[in-house]
Amino acid sequence: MTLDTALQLTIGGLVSGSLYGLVLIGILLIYRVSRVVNFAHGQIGMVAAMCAFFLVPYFGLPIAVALGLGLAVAALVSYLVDILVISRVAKIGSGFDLIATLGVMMFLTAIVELVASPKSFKFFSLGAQIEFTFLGVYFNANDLTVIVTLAVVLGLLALVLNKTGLGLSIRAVAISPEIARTTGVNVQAVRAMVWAAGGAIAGVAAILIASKVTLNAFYMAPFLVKAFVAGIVGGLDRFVRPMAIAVGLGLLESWVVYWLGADARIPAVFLLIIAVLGVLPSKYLQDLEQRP
Amino acid sequence: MIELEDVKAWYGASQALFGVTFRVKPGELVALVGVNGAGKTTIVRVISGLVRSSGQIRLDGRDITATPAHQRFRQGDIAVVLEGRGMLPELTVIENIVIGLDGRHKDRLDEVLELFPVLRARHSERVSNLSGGEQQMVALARAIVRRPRLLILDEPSLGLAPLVVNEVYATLEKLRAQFDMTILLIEQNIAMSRKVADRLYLVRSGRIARELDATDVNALESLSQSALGIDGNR
Repeated sequence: MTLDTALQLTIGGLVSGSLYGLVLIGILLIYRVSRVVNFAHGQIGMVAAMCAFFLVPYFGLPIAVALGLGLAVAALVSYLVDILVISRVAKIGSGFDLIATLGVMMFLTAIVELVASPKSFKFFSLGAQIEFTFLGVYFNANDLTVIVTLAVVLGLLALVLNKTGLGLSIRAVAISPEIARTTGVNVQAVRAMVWAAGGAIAGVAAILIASKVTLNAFYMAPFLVKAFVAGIVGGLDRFVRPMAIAVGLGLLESWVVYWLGADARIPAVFLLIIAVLGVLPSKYLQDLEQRP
Repeated sequence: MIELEDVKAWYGASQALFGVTFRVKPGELVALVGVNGAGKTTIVRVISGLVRSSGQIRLDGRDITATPAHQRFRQGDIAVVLEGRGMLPELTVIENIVIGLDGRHKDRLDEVLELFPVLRARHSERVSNLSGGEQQMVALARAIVRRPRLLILDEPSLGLAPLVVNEVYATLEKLRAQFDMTILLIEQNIAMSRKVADRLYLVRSGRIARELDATDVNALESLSQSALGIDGNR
């Protein structure tokens, strides 16, 4: 293997891992403030891509405007899921929120299938046609956009969480909603805002993913599964570790595909996870179990 | 200032308060005393809006029974130091104090840190690194920075060494004098309560069993031995 090939595989893996990471960010944010595993997260993102895709031909909107509106719709859908479904279901008891997000996932899938019919579409290329090589490695603008987008979203998130009053409220709600309430924080409003932001970030991820695969009602599923794998293994109430695992999964896949072929991608990921969990120190697993 | 009238409260299907009625007048320091499980903390949680309740809670004559919890605290009328001090352990000392203020009252922060110099020195440390006494100071600082008209303290001496308890109570008296606050104190330590309180209510089985004047030493000793099963001088 040449150095160029190794670099190429690494860049490819970083791009895939960045996409898993982008999907995962919203899942982690929502879990931190609501303690809800949001199975509908991928489909909420898919709504953004579908909206953007159909707004261009039907309303003659520029692509950038359509993408912005798509993100706004995803944020609105996610916000509504929280205030109309999750906040009510949470009062019934634990476990119902899982069923509710699964229900929302199936509902959104059914709606998109009904409206768009069960077809697949070619989404906007978003820079994939702009190609260049650097140090012998092939790049296109779409790949760079993915990596830069992850960095920008993480940077903005760090800024909001650590430097603003809203960020402080979000962290307080994540630690203890009850104590946050006694300091005057409107917990329900903070949660709803985080759901909206999570929906918009899901939309960003789904739009970038759609530019690389075929757009249909189910295209987010494999990305959602891998994001969840990284989240569960790294800990849904942590941030750096699951994000690192998400990017690591992308790198692993890239190298596995090179050595073993495309069919080995998914089995290799899950075999590695089983192997890693099997040899991880028991302290790590206890730590995961003990966290609230 | 604060009045509870026929307040009943539930945790799920289990009733915890059975028609609690009492009032705290402006400027008073009133203690609720009683054994574990008597319902003292539930009364705090009801006033804070954290527990489902019926009856009426009035603050300065205004019915706040249906007011959401965050609004009761946001308006600055009430501040509470919850049992266990209510710390947010992953946040710093300063973050624990200013949480919920959204940038308001920055001028008061300096004033509060003057009261607790140790917190100024450790302002950027995680609050989980602080001792119990220092955490109690953070809890008090968080409450004071809001300049509440009613300060509720749920067992501020819990888990603290006797020397630290004395410090906390000395601080409490200083704060009361300096900021002219009305205080509702929840305590098991009846000897400590009677030193600082104007009046006491005995809470028993989710009800107000008796009202006592803090100067009525004989009644308090009798109460301590009969109702709480402890020596009132301790």
